Amino acid sequence: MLSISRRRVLLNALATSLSAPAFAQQLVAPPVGIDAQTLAAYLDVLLPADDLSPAASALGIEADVIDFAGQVPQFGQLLALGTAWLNTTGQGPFHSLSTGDQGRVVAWMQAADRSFIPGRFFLLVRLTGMEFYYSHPDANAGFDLNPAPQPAGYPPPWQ
Amino acid sequence: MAVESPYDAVIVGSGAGGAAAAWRLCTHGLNVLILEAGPRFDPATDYPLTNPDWERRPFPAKPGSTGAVSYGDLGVLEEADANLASWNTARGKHVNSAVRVPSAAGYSHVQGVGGSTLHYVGEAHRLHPNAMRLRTEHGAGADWPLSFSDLEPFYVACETEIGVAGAPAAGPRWPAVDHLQPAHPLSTSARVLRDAGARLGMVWETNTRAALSVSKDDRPICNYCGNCARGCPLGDKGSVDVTFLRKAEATGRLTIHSGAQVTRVIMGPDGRVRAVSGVRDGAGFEQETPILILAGGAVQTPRLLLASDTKGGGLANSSGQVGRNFMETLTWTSAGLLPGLSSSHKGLPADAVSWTFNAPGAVDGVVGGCRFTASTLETGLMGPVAYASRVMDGYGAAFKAQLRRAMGSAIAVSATGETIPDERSFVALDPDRVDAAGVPFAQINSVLTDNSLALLRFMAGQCRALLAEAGVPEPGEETGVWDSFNATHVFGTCRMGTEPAQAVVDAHGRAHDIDNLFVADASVFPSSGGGEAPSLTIQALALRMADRLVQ
Repeated sequence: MLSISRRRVLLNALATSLSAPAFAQQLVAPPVGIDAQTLAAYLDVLLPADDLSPAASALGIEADVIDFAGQVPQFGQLLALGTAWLNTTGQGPFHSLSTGDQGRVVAWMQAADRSFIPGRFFLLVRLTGMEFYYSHPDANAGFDLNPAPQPAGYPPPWQ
Repeated sequence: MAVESPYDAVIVGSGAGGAAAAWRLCTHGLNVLILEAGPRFDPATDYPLTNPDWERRPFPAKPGSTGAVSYGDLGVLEEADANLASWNTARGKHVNSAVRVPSAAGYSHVQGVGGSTLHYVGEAHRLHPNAMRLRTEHGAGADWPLSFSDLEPFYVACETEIGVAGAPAAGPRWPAVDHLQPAHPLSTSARVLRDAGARLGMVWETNTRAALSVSKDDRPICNYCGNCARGCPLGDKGSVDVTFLRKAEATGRLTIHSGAQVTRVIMGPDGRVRAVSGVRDGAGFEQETPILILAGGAVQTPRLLLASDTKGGGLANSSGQVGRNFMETLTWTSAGLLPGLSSSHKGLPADAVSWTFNAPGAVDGVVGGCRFTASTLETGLMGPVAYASRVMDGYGAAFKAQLRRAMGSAIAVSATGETIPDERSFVALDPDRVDAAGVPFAQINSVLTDNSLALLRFMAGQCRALLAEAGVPEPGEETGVWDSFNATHVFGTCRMGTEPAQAVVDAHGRAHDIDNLFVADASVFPSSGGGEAPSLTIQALALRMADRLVQ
């Protein structure tokens, strides 16, 4: 058996999730592009700064996610529609809302039906955001991990 | 007819079988040419294990490093077995379809110098002796035309050359173990599974592994980074690029042409193979040879034979069995987080194994067996990306803190099981797609039979029971082949047998129809065994074939 190929799995997850006919119909041509500021603020709700590691936006994760969306056009459409929807949830763009209001919106999205854009946006942006964030060396403080598996490896004993 | 060639033999493919055959022939004094369709990989530069973003980087893909494969009928999904669906905590259900689909990896293989041994984890298994008599003892599938005792000396030879570590339990599969290197220590999650298994009546033991515990041939010992499947940069893993191929090249008698796709086997007027033709670096070539050995695996070897016959019936196919009898492997994995477990991301993948249900007939009501493996590392649960995107949900500061605490507590157990040949499972030429060289894709058709589904249900149930017995509150991920084709090991498409009417090759891998054509890969397996990793058996068969060839 094989170790799971992260990139292929992620691409496959996105493709599978986005190509279901009932959902694909919602991915109409977005009226605007991806709002990078709103995406950055959204990712900071998912991955805020704490004592050991910085917030997602401090590592430029929103740019990584947008860049990755270039490989899956439907994901780009979802990001555009999702950030546009986020900007309708309060008085002004999502990135201008208070931390508390942002948190309440994301909590609602987490529980939302994933057949529709808010729920699907939560699922797929969380997957891609986590992947890029925890691939960054600055995010890995506090873990019982080497910076990379080699060259040191993990010689025994292990407890 | 005289053949003009500087080589005594040409081998197509440089994976487990091609490499082992080449080494043995070179040691016998023959000059050998390997034509490998894929590229060379440089472990020092190609494998990503020193990069901070290592977890996002799988075994590298290079131009030409996968074969041309498409998928036909993979079966439909019956709602009655919906609890065999693949899912995880982070994503939910993986497949939303009424039919079985190829997974992201599909037929997971590497086309390159070293073949799929480059990304295998290095399990070094011998077949269960009874698995070679499936037809006689269970009335299904086909018998092997040779016995375990015929093969055993060649197992020893391969294990000695590669460097296999382990401490298998005494039994008919292991009449002697003195040549093995000391077993590797068990990881923390393997120890938990061993103990849980014992309480469920299963015997677990250290797995036999092609990973050095003692340095050998200038290769270092394993340092337990856990990432064999991403490519081993140290060279302790016994992939054939650092074992058989390196030794064969050292004889001065082996030439390897990478990036050389063979597109056709050319017959002479005497009914023997005269040459092969193909494409290398964009230019056509033709290479004559007195002996041709096909070692492209159970998908590409039948593809080449079927595509080489201008009359459409396939070469070496008077039996009609080329491409038939395709066998995938059944797989199931259950994974979760075990409170109190730590450091499970450290160690050797697939370090512990249970053969309790491996013999054909060991599972009630099923023909064929299965085995269980500690698979926390093998399935990639060894870093924060995998935890966050598979077995954990949530977000925010609390999630970040929880993830740090959880690291090292993942535990996974996998089962690998046998399929029986069925007329709906075969490899054919795709009627609609051709590759850049104009050769039709190999189309895989593979349907799970009632027997396969019964065994898969047992495998899933046993994995779930093991995790529960270990103390895992609830699984965080379950994946299997019920809803997606995900075969790393495939077999049977040029079956060996004594009867030319029923088999493509004989007990030494020689084609019944063409006496200078041989096959040295898993396509010759009449049965797959009960979940054993096939590379060692492929290599043992290749050595046996090479010895016969020079007699």
